[in-house]
Amino acid sequence: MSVREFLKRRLGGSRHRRGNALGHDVGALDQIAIPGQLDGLRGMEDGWLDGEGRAPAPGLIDWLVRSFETHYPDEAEPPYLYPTVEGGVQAEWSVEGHEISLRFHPGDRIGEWHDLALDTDEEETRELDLAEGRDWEWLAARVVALSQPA
Amino acid sequence: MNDETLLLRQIHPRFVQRDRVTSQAFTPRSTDGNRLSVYDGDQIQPAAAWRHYTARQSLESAGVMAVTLGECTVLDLPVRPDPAPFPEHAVIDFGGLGRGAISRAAKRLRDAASRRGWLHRAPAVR
Repeated sequence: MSVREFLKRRLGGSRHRRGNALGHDVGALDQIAIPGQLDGLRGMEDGWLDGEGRAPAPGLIDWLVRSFETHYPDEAEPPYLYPTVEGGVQAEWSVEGHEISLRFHPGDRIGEWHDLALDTDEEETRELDLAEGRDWEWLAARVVALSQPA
Repeated sequence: MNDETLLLRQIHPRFVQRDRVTSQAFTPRSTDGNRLSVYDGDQIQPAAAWRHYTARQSLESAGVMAVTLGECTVLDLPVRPDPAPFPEHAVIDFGGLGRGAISRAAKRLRDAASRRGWLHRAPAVR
């Protein structure tokens, strides 16, 4: 069973159906769609951060769009996506008392995972090889697990 | 300054996504000597700080968030006045912390500031 099938069964439906069940506005969920956020990072110029800051590499944006589409299930909480000063992209989640970041560098396909549990101060760091689907499966499953109420 | 003093942080527009601010907004740059620039809230109000930052310094800001000096102290981050650039300027000093410790502290500052909410927002661009 793929991670996508696993998560769909575990969560009992698509993200939009889940949103409706919780009374959320579907439009609000669509607002944080991953491709839209990534498209918003295109066209940036070097020096975007008070004269510093490299623009995210177009190849990185293209790869992230394809990779999230292929490997990241709709059922998992979508990240918020921001440019980094080095020309990379940082994904972040705030879920159930966890502050999570995943930093993508411009020159490789490695992701730096950092999860901080605000209540306990416990941390988890991990280097993910996101050129392969295996670590994307770990990522999606971890986000889903951390998003469940304790 | 005391533990309740608000330390006003300007938030770059690119560090806001759907009204959520990234922890990078509270991460010092190595080029700044691991010191995070803030305005001393005992000396200047959020709206005035935003005007100073955008008009006088011609820098971009989506608005102003804040942490307290006490919240920095809990994280072992010293706060010092640094009036050289302008009188209300102060710094949160991340000193010799490594990357992991900086990331941890930045996430806690982001959480504290987000709970407090925006103290000033840039006017909407029409």
